[in-house]
Amino acid sequence: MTDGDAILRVRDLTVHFDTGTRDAEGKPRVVHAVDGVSFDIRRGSTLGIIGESGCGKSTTALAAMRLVAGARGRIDLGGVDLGGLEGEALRRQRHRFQIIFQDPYSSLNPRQRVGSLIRTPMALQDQGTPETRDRRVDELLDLVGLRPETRHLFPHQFSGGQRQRIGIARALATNPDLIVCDEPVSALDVAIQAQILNLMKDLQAELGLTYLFISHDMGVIGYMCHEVAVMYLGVFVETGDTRAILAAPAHPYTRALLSAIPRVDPVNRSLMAATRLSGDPPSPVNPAPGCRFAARCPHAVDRCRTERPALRPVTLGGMERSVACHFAGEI
Amino acid sequence: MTEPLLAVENLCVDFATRSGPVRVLNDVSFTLAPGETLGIVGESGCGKSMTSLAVMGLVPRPNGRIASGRILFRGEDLVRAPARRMRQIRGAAISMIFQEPMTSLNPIFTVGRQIAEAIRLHEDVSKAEVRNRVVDVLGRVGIPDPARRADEYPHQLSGGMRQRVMIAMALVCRPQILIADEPTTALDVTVQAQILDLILRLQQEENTAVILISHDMGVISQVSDRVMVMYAGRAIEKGPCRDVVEASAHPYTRGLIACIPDIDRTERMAESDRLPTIPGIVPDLRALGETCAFAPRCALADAACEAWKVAPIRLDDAHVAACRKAARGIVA
Repeated sequence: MTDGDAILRVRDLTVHFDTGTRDAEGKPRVVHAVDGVSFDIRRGSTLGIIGESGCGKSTTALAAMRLVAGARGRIDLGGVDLGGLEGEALRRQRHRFQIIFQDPYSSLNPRQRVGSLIRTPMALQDQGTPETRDRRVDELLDLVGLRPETRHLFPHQFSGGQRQRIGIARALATNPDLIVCDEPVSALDVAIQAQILNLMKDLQAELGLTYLFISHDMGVIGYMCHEVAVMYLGVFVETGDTRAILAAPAHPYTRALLSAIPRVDPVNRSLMAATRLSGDPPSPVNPAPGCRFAARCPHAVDRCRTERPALRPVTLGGMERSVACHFAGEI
Repeated sequence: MTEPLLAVENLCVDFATRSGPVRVLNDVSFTLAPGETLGIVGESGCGKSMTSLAVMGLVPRPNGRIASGRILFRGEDLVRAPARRMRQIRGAAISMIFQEPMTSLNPIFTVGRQIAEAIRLHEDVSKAEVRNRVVDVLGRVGIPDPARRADEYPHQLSGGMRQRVMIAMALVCRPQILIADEPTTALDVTVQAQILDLILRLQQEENTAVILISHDMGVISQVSDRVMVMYAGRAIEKGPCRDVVEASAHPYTRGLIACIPDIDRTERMAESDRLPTIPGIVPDLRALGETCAFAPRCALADAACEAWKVAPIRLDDAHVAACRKAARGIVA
């Protein structure tokens, strides 16, 4: 996933959290939340990161936005190395990357009116004058499908879907180059989810937005993302064109994830015949050497338990993607 | 068809609010046969969880009350059953698995003790026998090393393991009806598949009837024999799973299925294509009357729909939809 036209280039992003405790052998217990993740996002496209809870997908996104203390790695946003910036210099860059949060209830200050919520990022970044900011608030509300008069209301006067529209308007306020969407529709009912996903796609087409899209839902990823990275226990196990991976998943984990999705199909009840993973993902504390998925993988051999596979190009079903598996393409 | 195990008839539940009573369940009827799986699907606030709470005799008091209707369990009306009788039934003949395996277990007791409580409340058995059954049921729900796990506390178990404990607790008295209210919503998809598989396997072993409540049409379509779709407190479509999902008669059911970003369908979509949506949002329950609550959002609604008093329209022996146009074939 390297591209000359990339707006965001992330290299070897690593986030380790020291638990402050020690294991039986006296070694510090360290959570390997993100372990050497690299990716590029093309301008105007959407990269999805999918994985199960605790796999590190949100931490990856937050670290790429410099919102995680102690993260290491290079984060190049349009030629500026965010990883090397601190304090005021970093704050000055923040208008270029914004975030849409998962929970439209807790991510909007209940005491702030909608107009003020959307105006605040512009004011903090010294963009425009008070008059132009007010005009921009009206424009943004219109853009996300809310009436400009609603700027005088408080968040509790809106439904969940409308609140997420407010969250999107706020993320758009400073004209960012990149928007990180952290499970933006997981808290919404499916009918409202479709409305918000369509809005985000329309805005991308209209404004040329670039999204880093975090989700646990393969259906949502399939609809929203041009490219996808499948994450397991702190590492990317398969990355590439979304359609290629959905059509012919190469990593055993991607396959298991896809087969576990309950399809809307009352006749072909594939869920009950699925190649099922047993157990839960293992702990990310001091993970064993070798492939992170080896303990649950039906194909694992000794080599998998000792030698960590790197991402490498694999062609399957006539389509290329990168896979971190010693036996990708053969199994 | 055999005598239904459970027959809910014209159930209405009201809630008192500052602005007067609100009808949260309106004229809901369904039956459940032994060994059958009924899927109840709908969006937040449609009444699917309230339906299950009503069957369990757990409508929150004092604000909520069953205004009318009957809940017949093997012929006995649970709406009129005294509290003592409900305590005998609840957790024994009819038991329930809740959505949140994190908050539904008591953090200060071992899981074994919590399962044992269910046995001791309903049966007069020795301590050793209780222990045997606890370990046995934990093994049956797929918990490795059950004798050791029985002595652990909820925080020592993963989310999937906790949900298995909840299932063990619900099944330990061999219920005739198991109500599973969003049993996998808090879980990852790979664990969800394990848990659904487990529920269905145990159901087959014991011929238990299951009511599965979910917002996820995928889950519902994969496991249900029959499906009931709810909207704004009413059952708007009922029928065999295949009919409801593949030949939906109510426009809301069709809209609910169409707006799911299904990977098989999105694969064929062009970049400029958009998901079909249902315009607007669910109505305020306080503002509803006897007419179709979906009409304001319905692409097919006309003036006559807004005046039509909602009634179930029978399409065939088993398939019913509360849509005026369903009977005339306009919908299909």
